[in-house]
Amino acid sequence: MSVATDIEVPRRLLLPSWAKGLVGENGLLVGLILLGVVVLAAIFGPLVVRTSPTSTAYGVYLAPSAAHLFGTDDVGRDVLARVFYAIQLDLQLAAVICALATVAGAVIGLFSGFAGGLVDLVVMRLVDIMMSIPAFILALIVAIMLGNTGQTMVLAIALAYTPVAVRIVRSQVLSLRELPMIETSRAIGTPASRIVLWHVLPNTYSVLIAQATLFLAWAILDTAAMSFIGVGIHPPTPELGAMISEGSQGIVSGQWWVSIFPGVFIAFLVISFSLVGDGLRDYLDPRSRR
Amino acid sequence: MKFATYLAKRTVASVFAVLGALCLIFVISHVLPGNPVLSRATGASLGTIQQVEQQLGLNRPIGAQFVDYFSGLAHGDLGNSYVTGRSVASDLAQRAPASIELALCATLLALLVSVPLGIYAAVYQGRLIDRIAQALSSLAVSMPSFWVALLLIYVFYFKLGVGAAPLGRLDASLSPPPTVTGLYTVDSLIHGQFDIFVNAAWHLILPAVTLATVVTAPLVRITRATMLEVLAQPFITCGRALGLSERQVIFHDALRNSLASVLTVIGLVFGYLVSGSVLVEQIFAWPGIGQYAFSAMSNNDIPGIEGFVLVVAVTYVGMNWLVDLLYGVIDPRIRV
Repeated sequence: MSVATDIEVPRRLLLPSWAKGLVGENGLLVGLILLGVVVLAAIFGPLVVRTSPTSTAYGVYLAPSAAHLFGTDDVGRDVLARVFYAIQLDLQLAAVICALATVAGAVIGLFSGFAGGLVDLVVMRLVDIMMSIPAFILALIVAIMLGNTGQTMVLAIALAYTPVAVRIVRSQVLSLRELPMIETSRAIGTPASRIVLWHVLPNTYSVLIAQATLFLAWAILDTAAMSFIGVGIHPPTPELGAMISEGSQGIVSGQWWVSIFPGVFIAFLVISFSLVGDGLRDYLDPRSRR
Repeated sequence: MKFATYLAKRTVASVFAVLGALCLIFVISHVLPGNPVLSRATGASLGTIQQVEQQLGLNRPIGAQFVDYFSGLAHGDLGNSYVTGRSVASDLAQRAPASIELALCATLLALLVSVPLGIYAAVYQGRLIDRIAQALSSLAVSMPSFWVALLLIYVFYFKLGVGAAPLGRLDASLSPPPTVTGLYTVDSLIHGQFDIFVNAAWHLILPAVTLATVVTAPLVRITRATMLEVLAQPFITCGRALGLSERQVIFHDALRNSLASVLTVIGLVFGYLVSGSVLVEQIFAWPGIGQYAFSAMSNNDIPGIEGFVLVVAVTYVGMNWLVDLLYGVIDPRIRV
């Protein structure tokens, strides 16, 4: 419980209703601010720090200095410039993975939950099976089998996350399906498709959006982990995990900056997405607040 | 529903989940377009490829391969690895102790840190220690494990010079203790080889801390959440009203009633450990199952991948099954 809600100030805050709910959601706000800072830095950073992410002209393994804030790597590229591009790339990949998994999960979950019966049984068994292999391992195997490129990695990770979204949406649908409003709607002859799209789907948004934000956090970690072991995005493309991998040679000889800086930004991104995800769940669905 | 019926149902469902996972991996590895022969012999002539495919039985109909695989499995035969040429079952058995030793040590470390932290966080809810515990666990789960590994190697091996080189389970000059359990720390103690025990523990500590970091977060969270729930119960208030010491109330009454819930995250923890070990064993040159799995995957070694998935799925599903069973034993109320 935060101070802001404990002390009721008599003066009336002139905030729109959506903003009032944000008061006291410290985690959400901190997450959003952190995320904003990192994203803005990644977008506008290259305009301020005018070093090239691909040029190898800067000297090999220079320690962090005023000229190269994050130092240079084993072939003489500026680490900071590469980090900017890597963040942009990782965010884009995470966004695509998240969108694919969320949409696929929502469609399958809606269909399965609303149809019930045999369809539901088959879908849920499939979900159980996929979840009996840890998501990262499943994604890793599928990505390699499909041919170890950026696209296959994105598809594979999205595939591994889909069962989670299916489960969440389905369980929502199952409880929503029994609501009087749905029964009424059915009684007055609304077609099933309209009930699903207009009455059921919008009511799953709150949990779905919160889960989607957590997918973003997982996707950042898993994309980096895969690229670290050489699956998905390959060097010399600047990607946070691939950069850590490139720098790992220097760790035992003291050139820590090549690996350590990209990792700091992975942690930053993941923490802010987790904070936003947890915060959004409380904000959109106050019942889940502890 | 009676507990026995429930258990029987869960057992059947677990067996189907494992079989399903094997089918899934079979489909992924045999039907998806990656060609195991082509990927290892780029530039080989079409004739050679076809010849190797015939040797490995990969040119046979999918249905026949499927039947072969499962009948082999029923006889305990996981096939031969394309990479090592040895039977996958013996490869895995040989490498399992290294991974088990690492995972056990990591879990133990994580429990030692996270359970007390979770208890204190719950007891002092909203206070500084609670904030710190929550911040630490959010941080721990957000850091990539492979990055933590590199950070630890840099700080403890390079900078401070106290960590072991990330090159396996023992110094190259030492020979492993005679195998009893396969866990070097245990075997060396059994045979009284104290120097080997120290060396094995020294090599174990950095990778174990890395994996422990990753699994700490869910453990802290669940301990804190259940402790909070239990501490709010009437019997705790009653205990306090009867004049029991705070220590008695927290560690005897509340903790005992919370520990069962900690079991529920065991699946999550195992998932983290397996995923983490694929990455971390790679970095520390740890000769375990994770490293084997990764080499199998990158070489399109289908029997190796299938063997790995079998081990993972059986352990994972088996653990969840065991948790359900233990749950009924620990907390008889849920049997009803």
